[in-house]
Amino acid sequence: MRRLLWMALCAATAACAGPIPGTAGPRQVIIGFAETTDSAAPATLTSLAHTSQVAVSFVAAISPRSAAYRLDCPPADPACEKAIAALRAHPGVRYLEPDRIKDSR
Amino acid sequence: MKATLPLGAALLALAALNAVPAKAAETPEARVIVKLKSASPLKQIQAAGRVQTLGQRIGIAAQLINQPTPDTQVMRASGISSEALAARLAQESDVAYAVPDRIKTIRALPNDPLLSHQWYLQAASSTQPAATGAQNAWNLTPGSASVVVAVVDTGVRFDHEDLVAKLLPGYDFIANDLLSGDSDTGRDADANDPGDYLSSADLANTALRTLCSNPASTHGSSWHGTQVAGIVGAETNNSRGIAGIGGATRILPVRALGKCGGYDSDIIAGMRWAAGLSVSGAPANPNPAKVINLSLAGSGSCSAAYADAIAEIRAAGVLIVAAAGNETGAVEEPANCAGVLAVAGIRHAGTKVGYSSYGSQVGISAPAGNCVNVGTGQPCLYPFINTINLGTTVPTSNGYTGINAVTIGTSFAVPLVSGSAALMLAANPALGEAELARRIKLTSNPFPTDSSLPACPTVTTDGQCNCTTATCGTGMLNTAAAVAAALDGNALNPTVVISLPDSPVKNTSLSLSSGSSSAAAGASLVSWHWVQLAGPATGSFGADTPSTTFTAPVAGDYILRLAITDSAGRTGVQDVTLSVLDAAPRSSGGGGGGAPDLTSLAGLATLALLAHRRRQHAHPAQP
Repeated sequence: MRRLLWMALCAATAACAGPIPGTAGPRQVIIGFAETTDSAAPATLTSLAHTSQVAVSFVAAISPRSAAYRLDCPPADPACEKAIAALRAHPGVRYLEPDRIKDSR
Repeated sequence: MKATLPLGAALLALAALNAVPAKAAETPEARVIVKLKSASPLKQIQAAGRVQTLGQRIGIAAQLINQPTPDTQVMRASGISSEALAARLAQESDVAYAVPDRIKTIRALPNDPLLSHQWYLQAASSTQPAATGAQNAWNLTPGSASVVVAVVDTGVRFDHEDLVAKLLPGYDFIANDLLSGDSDTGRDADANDPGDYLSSADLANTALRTLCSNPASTHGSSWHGTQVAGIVGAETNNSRGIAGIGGATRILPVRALGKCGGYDSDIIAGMRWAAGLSVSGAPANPNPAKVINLSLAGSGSCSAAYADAIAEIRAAGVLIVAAAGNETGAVEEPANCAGVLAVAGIRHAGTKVGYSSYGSQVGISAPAGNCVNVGTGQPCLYPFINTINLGTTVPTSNGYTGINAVTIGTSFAVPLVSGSAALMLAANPALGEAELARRIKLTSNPFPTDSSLPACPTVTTDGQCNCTTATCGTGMLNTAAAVAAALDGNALNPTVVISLPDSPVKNTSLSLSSGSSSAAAGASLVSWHWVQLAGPATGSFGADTPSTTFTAPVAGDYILRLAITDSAGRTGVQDVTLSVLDAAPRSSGGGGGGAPDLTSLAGLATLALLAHRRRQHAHPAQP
């Protein structure tokens, strides 16, 4: 059901039809989904990649509706910003935030 | 010389020894902690007198043992059990609560040898007004092993002798193996801290260098989680090292920070797991925490990822306490998220310590460690004394930070608050996270003012300033008062202050006001109800509003009551005596000249007496 929802959302976007470019240099983000999602499932990763037009790898789960992912694009690359914008615009994505480093204080 | 007792004497001695416990068992000794309501007339006398009077009311001879807070007395009496004495005292109308004092062995300070250097646990004083008074709080509760504080940090050294008995099995949420630096792959069940040092080999690793924002040099291990865990819950009264503020509180170590820190995703996942929420790939947490300690921070506004998790965690009834940051600037993430109890750092003197971040999101301030007169060869006078591993990189033997070490940071203010919250939960397990935060704020001590410093947010060149409630929270953490408030169901009731007219005269419309009354943090005053309790005749009130009128038909003393209810449905009550005169006193102005006659002097004396009585009745909360 969860995969179906995500794939249905994906199918409704033009991004799904495009290639999945892979570029060097990772950028780690947190994605919050609109619904409970199997965040590590291949179908989810494929859909994210189709939407963003960059390779996406699963990093770690946070909650049933959020996880950390690595976008395979250099942070300074405009294509990376486009990928993030595309993911944020997707109706299945509630939020996308940079996965920043915190430190002890 | 060999001593030999005759048989008869030995038997008598044995009989006498046996008689002592038998006699003690027949004569119970009661110890009770009692708090007076704000309107109690007993608050105008010394603590010993309060206890004596309370005892007289119920027909027993009671003595004061100590006074943990200004409103709270510990008392003893013979010939009655603690439970029975508490029950009888609780029926007194001006007693807020009375509970048995079951922790007799805690009367003496714990025997941890470094306790005397833990200045921040001592009672506040003129030389260290920021001290938390935790030692007095231990007279109210020793803490509870059923209360769990999660320390989301670098992990801990499970083999530290002052922590080992207090640690629960935690979890390592660091997914990135470069940051983690342990021998495990990804997240795992080992929350041990392997050291967060950065070596030359680490610097040579391009990926790790990038993660660490290209550091210029290597650094040693901080053992930060071990330090923080010790402040919360180092084993107390074990003849070793330091005492944790949380007494018997247990620690749940959650490892989320490694070399150069940790990703938000790992911190958030660790926070959720700590609260008992599910995280895919991690087993269910068998020991959910009631308090989450975040001695960590980073730049940025509160992200949706944190906001989401914080809402879930709060819904689970878990309090989140976080460091404001050490940037002498805006409060950092996640302390700047709504629903987090953000902690700023203050010096021993109560002023903002230079490095502490500050701002409107701060809820409370607490000592963060500061150094005074530090120069070559001089000690840091107000540091923290923490549990630590002594290895510079990888772990070696365990120990403590030195009493002269510069052990400072808002990281260390946070566990003082977390441990205080744990004590409050031990005293009253029914408290929710919002009630914990409210009581901590409500009971804080007001900030002092140093005339040489500007008021925050203006700061000196080294970042110091006089804290304000707009920049450093409601005040300075007062652990003893917070725990007392946890026991007190009335602690959050509105404070009612009634102002009376100067020269009340019969058959005139007298103005009464309550404009100085206040509600607890997060609440507002919503309704007012004025009534007359006693008097020579029945007077009449105006509307039930903050300010009203009262008309007394005859002269005499009228006892009036105002009950104010706040938006949370809590009601505060205050009674005052209004001494109404037959006629207005003659004015002393105008006419001047002649010496006063005896009648005038007598009238003035009467007025002075009446005014004195009115002040006493109008402000019974002032001792």
